[in-house]
Amino acid sequence: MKTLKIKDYVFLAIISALYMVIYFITAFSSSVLGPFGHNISPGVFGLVGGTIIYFVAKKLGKMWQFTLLTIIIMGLFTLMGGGYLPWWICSILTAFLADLIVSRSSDFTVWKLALAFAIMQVGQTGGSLIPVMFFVDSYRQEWISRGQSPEFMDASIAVSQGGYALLTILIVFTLSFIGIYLGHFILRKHFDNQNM
Amino acid sequence: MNTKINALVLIFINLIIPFSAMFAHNIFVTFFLFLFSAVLLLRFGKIRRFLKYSIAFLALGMIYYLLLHFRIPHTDVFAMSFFILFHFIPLMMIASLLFYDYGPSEILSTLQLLKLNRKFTIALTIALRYIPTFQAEFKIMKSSMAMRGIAFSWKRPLQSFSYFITPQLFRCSLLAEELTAAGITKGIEYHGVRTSIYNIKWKKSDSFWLISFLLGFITIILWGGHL
Repeated sequence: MKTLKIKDYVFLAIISALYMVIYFITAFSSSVLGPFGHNISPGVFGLVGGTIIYFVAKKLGKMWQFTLLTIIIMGLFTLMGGGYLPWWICSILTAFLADLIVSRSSDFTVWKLALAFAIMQVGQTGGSLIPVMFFVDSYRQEWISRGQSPEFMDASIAVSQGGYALLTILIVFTLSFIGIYLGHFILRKHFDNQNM
Repeated sequence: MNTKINALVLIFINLIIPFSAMFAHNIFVTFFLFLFSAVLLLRFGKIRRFLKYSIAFLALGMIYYLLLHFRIPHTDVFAMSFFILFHFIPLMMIASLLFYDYGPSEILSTLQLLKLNRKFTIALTIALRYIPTFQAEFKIMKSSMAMRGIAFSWKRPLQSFSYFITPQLFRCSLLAEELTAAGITKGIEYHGVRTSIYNIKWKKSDSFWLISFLLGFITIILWGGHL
């Protein structure tokens, strides 16, 4: 099993910067769909960001690559004031799981990478679902005190619970899964040319 | 004499602010955070940035108020998005200082004080440094594509995306190699304590900023709702 060296840390750091810029663009775009759009934003990113993850897996292919990438990204979110504990835990656990699935060997199949990335993105979704699932009353009260109508808050909470939560997970999983195949389609010829 | 605020103060404040969303049930917390961030920007002499963020803050706040006040049908979702952005402005103001006004070596030396994993702090610092770079790179990429007569087209989204992302990714790989080589030359792999040309010692003025923030923040959380 290959271990990460300092140049891999630098590579993942630069990739994280690119990841963040694209994440902000996609998250902002999906926020126009309201709370449900916010919930599925990791999937919308997954569709685009799958190409980044495919590139990382092809270039590095080392154990801990996704865990480290996620830690850097969550570190950046925290520095920008966006990180909080449940999101950290969900993201890192699923990134570790992704590493177990795909990073133990540099030889990987596309479907395995797609599965690993889809799980990673479902972990990111946990960040938006958990507050609504576990702190629903304070969340509702908070927004009503800021002027939102109770009807709207009930509707927006509804899209993060029960069947909608499952639908969110399913959409995020599917979009991220497709994202890796998209990355494979776009980058395949470049890696074939490099004989990698 | 270096009178720059220690980067740890800004990092700490940006770690604290998200919790305001959990405990703050009054709008005054957001106003306090905005005022404090504005004072910090002015302290750094960033008047244009202060004006830009102030306009954004006022505009987002007003749009949110107007949407809710006039109860325009089907705009609740947008109102909520505007409020989230409104709440996010103070964070962006402080993050902008970390992005643009502290060098990577300065942040790296400061983070060293936290005794975090060294490789992680290096990676975090590089990522922080390169986010603004990529924003500029996107513009370069777009003009390079335009020069070659290739335009972004929604009719061919996959091809457009491919033209856009592929050079960026390979550029990342190249940058990583160059940066690693430069870093190794500067002793990035050295495991001992790094010395720094920056004054990263905790100063009395740093304590002043931090205590002022905490006092103001706690006061507003406890009594802001009664105002």
